[in-house]
Amino acid sequence: MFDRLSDTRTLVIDDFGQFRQTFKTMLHRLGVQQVDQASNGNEAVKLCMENDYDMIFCDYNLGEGQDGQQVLEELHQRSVLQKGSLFLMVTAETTSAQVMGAIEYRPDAYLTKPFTNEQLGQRLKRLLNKNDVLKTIHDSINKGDVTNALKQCDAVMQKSPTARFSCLRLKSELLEKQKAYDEAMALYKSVVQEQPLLWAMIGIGRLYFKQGLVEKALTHFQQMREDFPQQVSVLDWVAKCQQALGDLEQSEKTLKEAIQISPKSVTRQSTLGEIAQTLEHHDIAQQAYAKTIQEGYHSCLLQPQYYQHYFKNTQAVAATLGERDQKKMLSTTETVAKRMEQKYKNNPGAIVHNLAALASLFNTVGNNSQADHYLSRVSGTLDSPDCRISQQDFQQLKHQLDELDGTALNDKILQKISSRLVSVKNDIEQRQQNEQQAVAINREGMQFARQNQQLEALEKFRQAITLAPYHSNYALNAIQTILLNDAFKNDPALIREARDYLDNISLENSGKRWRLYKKLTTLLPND
Amino acid sequence: MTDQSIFETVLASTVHDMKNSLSLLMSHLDDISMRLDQQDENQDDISSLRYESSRINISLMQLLTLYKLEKRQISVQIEEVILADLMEDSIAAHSMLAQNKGIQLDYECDDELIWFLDPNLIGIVLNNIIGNSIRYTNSRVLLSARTQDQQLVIQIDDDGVGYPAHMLNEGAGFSNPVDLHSGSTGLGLFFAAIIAQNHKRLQRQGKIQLQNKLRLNGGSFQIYLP
Repeated sequence: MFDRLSDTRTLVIDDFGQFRQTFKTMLHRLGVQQVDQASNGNEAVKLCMENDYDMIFCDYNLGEGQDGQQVLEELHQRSVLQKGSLFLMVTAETTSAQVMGAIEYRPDAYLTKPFTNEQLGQRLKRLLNKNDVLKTIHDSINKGDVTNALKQCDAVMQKSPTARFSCLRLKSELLEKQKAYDEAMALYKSVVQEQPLLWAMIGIGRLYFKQGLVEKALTHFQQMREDFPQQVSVLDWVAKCQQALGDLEQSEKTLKEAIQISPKSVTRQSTLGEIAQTLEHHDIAQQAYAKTIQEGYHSCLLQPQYYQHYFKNTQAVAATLGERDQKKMLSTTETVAKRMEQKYKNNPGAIVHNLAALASLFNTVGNNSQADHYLSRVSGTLDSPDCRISQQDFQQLKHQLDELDGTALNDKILQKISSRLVSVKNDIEQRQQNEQQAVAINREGMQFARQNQQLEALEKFRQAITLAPYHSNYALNAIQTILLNDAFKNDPALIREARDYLDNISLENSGKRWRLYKKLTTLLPND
Repeated sequence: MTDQSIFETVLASTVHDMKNSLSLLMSHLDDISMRLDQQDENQDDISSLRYESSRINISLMQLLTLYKLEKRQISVQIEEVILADLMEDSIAAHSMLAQNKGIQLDYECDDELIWFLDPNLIGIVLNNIIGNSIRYTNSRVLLSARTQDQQLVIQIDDDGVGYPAHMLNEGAGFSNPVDLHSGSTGLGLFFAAIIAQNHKRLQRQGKIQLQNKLRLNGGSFQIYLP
């Protein structure tokens, strides 16, 4: 139907197979050749890390697992979305933008179901045309060349009057990122004078806030509420200003309003939890953290300490309840605890605090056998052979255990944990030493590599890997050295070594380095 | 959970379900239509199926939007809109239908005309009016947009018999969504008037207007946005 579409790589994410198929047929009819499919967030993220897509169509409602907004968040967190690739959220409602408007990330467009083939084609044609017009700006941003990006904004505006507001938006956001606040403010204000557009209005308030003029920011956002009554991002800003000014009661109230409109945001719920906890409104905090971990179970924004806060606030609330309600609340808590352990089974540092918090909770309500159970789980986790916890986790756990000392709990377990903690502490110190050494040795290796002394470089990287085998950087350096050098890359022993490193790399939380990893994988010859 | 929030939850998920069904339905209709010869006698039936399902969709959207506007759950979201894009979108939604009925559907507007409006809500308004015009016109429906007296005017003309006299006299109100005599619910025009009125700027308010015998000598719908 339209040539520009034929060479685009696209991904369709929908949990409903029939719908994926229909969508794929529609895209084929529009001339798109390459359509990949994913039925859930995990598959989608994996595909996006392996491929560069020009367009990603994601249904908001993905059933079990992540929703569309969470997929988008994770793609951003892992920095796998390039500026200029399109993320299109498919929804059933036209009002999604105002309701889902998370502070952090927005899709490039919402597509409202149902749409005909022609409508879809028309929409895509327009989005791609717009992208083509802005391409020189996007390219500069992707390269990190802000000066040129700013220049391109002016050039594109000159050439294409219809792209003027898009250019103004990109330009003011770039200026803001560069901390050229006065220039950015002037730009936002000039836009608002023409039209009170939401992004420019928010830009003004955000700049007041960044410059420390929090009261001014608050007044600005409060006024905005009249013109944009249901825009949840405005409410988020009002709450943020109130919190910064120390008016926690009002901030809590505003967040509750925002949550009424848009209950699914992990960040919003956890912020409410944090504020309510400070105010000692434990019931509100308990509910907010319950929502946080429920909605955020599959989200990359979920942090392990949210569980701990949830258990802590449950402890405060449960103590005030009657027997029946208490029992009900505790049984829910145990279900949550199981899910928590499942989620963090590879992260002992996260699990131990949460288990200690559970021990404290059950100790408070007088169920000591259950408290002992969780304590022995702490002990068991610390004893597991590959338990590696950080200095920070260690300190926090020690603090938690000190609080439990002297309660009616099983002393033997507590003692066992304490003695185990001594060796954990030694481990941590040893590891820190090794890590420092590894950093230095790796630096030496890089120097050798720059001087083209590849053999010496490789030897250094090997030493760094031995000292800190869990840091993928050193392994990636070693693999790179082997594969990019003619003298090495035909040596079967070295290739085997490279393959071993590659197999052991865990890049679970890495975004940018993943690209390097991917590139290296393709360079590796097959056996 | 209060009764109201139960209703709202059910409303949202029901609409979601219905839209999924409508999506599949409309897509299957396109499939069937494409498999058949253009001259096949079943094309007419498919065309009216398509028209009716698009009407269900639009009614659903109007209902939900009015409900949410009244409950102040949504507000008009003003964006910068390229009018040519908006017209192309609206035409794309109806081109199959127009083609099957042998009606010429096109638009006229300056490529660089930009205005500030809520494209989702105005989109629903236009889709509804275009759908009706295709139903009542003879051979052509024409969309156009222009600025006039610092307002945007979007106009939809047809060459049919025109709007009935009692509708022309409605003034700006269109306050009565149900007309039992004519059998028409008038929801579309009522909705259009509400959406127009919700576009406000510099102490001015949007409005709609019906006239006859303008550009194509049939009915003419106009929406004014400040």
